[in-house]
Amino acid sequence: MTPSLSRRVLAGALPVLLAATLAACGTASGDAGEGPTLTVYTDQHAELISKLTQAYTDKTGVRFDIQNDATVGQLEAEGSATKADLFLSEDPTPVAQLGAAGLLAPVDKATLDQVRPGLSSPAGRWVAYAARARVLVYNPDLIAADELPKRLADLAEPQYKGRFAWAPSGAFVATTQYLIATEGEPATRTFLDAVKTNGVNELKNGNVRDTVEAGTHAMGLTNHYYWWILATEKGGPDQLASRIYHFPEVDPGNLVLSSGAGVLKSSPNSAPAQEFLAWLSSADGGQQIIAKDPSAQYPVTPGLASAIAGDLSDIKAPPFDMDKLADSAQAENLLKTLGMSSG
Amino acid sequence: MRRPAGRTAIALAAVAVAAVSLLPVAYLFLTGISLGDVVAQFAYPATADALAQTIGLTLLIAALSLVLGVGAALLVVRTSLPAPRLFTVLFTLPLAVPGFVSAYAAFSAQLTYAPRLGLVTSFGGAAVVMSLTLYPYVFLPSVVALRDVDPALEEIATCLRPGRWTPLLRVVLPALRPAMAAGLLIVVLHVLAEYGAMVQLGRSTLTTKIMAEMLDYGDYQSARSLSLVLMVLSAAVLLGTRVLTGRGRSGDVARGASRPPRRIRLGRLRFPVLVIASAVPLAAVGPTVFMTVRGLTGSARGTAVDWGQVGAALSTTLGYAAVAALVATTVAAPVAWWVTRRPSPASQLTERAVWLAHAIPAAILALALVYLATRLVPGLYKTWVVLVAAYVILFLPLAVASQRVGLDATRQAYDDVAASLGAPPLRTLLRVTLPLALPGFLTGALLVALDASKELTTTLMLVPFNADTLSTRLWATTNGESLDFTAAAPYAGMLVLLGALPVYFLVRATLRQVQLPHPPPPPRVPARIVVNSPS
Repeated sequence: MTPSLSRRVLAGALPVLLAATLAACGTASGDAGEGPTLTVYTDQHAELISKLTQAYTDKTGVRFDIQNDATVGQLEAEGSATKADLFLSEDPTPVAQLGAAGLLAPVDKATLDQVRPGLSSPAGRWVAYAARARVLVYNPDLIAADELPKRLADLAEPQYKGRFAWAPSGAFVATTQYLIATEGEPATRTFLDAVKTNGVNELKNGNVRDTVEAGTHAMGLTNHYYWWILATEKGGPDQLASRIYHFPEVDPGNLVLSSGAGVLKSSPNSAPAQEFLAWLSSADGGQQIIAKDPSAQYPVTPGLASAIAGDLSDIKAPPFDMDKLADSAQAENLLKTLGMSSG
Repeated sequence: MRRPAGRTAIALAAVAVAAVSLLPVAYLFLTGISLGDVVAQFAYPATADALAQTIGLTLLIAALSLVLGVGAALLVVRTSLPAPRLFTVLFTLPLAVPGFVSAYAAFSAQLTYAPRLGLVTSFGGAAVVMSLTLYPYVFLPSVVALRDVDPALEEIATCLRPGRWTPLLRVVLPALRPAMAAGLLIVVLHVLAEYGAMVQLGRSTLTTKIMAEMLDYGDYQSARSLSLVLMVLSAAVLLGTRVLTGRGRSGDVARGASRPPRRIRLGRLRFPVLVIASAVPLAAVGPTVFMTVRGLTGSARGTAVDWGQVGAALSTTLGYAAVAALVATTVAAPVAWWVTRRPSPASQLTERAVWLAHAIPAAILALALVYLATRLVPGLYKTWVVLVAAYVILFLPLAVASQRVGLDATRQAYDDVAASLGAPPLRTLLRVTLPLALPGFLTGALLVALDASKELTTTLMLVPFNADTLSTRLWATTNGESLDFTAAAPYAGMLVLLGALPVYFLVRATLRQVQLPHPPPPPRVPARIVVNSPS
């Protein structure tokens, strides 16, 4: 009875639906061309990944199946059934976690050697292909450049109370983990307490940028590219009310975090996958695309700068073993205990 | 009358549907959670705060949605508000806008025009923004239910207890109770599971906590533990509202030949009411429409819109949504039929079970489906089949709820009369039950299609490789953070236009059940109830 019901009700619509579905499904999955198809799991900006893979397809004929907004959780849930050949992360944490779980095959040494030192996995589990820096953005209408903190730690000072925004993003968790690793838990806790007291939690890095630009806050802790993306959209840095600021000396506030790429151990396409990584991190391959991309991330090969955000070497970043982010339980626990976690 | 064998088959089918929709919930337990894990979450003060805020927001949004939804329905069906059809469309329109889009539009409008206000990110402000997007779920069933109120009952009530508000308080509102309960349930479960909008509105709820565990910490064990807390909360809501809907129907005097509803003449209040009535949909969709138009026409537009890409996403979205609506309508039918025709603890529990999957955050549901699909049907994983299955599980309750309203419009007694006159069951179904219940079925299908076309979280995980829907493309322009109304505008605009289509059909299906006045009622009588002369 119920089937006949829906049949009756919707019989007229059925051909239309089928046509729509076929149209919808026609776009899925590679139509078995020449060469292998690589399955890329990624949480990078979708537009950038699309550009990179398209360029590689044009050059080599290798095709791609792309899972955007991928998470380690999805890979874990898929278990041995996963189709993923590669993981291209946005922040270092997912590839660090996959590496620590023993799911990544070592990256070819020649590939790792193409990249500036200190950005890839020290254990060679993943290679950096892009980078982002932590920055302070500020609104000159509300704070003069010479009043800005000289170090991240200065934000704990009373004169900055109520004057800056921050967001408990993945990069903030990474900063916390970095501080715990370098300065110890007690000092980190003291600093975070001060951030909580002095700062305003705007929940997302994008909101930090927008509220500083709008004049809600004098300063904000965010990632460099948020500001540059807005600057590009508005027609250049001069069109913005806010400014970007890198701490003058080597400082945790200048922390640089890599986007990492790794090949899954379970991949049946490891050779073409490694070739793709070599191209992705080479100065005349993927790095050219990243250098010009409006997402304003830094390319990672020596001598190449972002056309928008400039050269990574200008940032005085502290050294950091990003594989340490595989286990950020300490940072997580501390942030949660202080009531500074997101969500 | 149906033979018991047929009845058993329907009951079995209903139980099977409920069992399948509970599968994702089972995943939470399959992966091993102990009570200790759950308790450990409360070691952090923020967990209890988030729980309190979740409950507070839920209650406030439920109350606001109830006032807005029932108020709007009364205005459209029971007062002399001009252009009731137009207003029915306008009041339903917020359904066309995805929650995270309208939340960001409100946030973004505030940032542009009053950066220091902090209104939409306050507790009350967030509740208002959310209520403005959710009240149509109360409005639509209320409009349908208002038709069910026999004017004769109101006349009787007025005779027994003269007074201007007697019919409203003694007859109309009690008769609306099932509709209000059904709508509220949808609203509440949406609030409990909402992520994108809540984050944008700066609220910390159980769901935003669960998402933060997954996205910022990669701590899936904690995410699942918190989901369990959320599910207990949802189960309490489900059983609580069952008490509401479980009551008997109000009586009627001459069903099937009931007269058009009586209308309250607005008189001098006409203009202020008109202004308030226009303000509600304007506040709900105004910011989105405004920011979208601004994004499409703004001088800062860097890149040209790739309309080919927009078109591809549009056709994909349409296809998935249509198939999901078709399947959900089919599998909801036995559940709805069983619970309306044979109300019993078993049928009612089965119906409630269908709702439970609706109450866990979509990301957890998606993970559950990833886990189950790669093990049970690996060949179908990352094809449209699993994605449509996810939509069906997520939005099945919308179909069931609407079908119940539809089936309530017909009666077992009619089936019995048909049978006693010698009509075989199939003929009864086709000639009696279906025509009367059809609007409810269509409403359900449209609601499923609408929500499926807006869905984001599950879609991101399950959509076939290289395929895009409008909402995933919209999301891609956010770079995982803030919506940028320049790049997002074509997709936001298309989503709203696409959403407006089912909204139009929804209103038509709803209005088919409700008689609205064609000729304007005679003027002059001051604000009091006009008693129709018996016809």
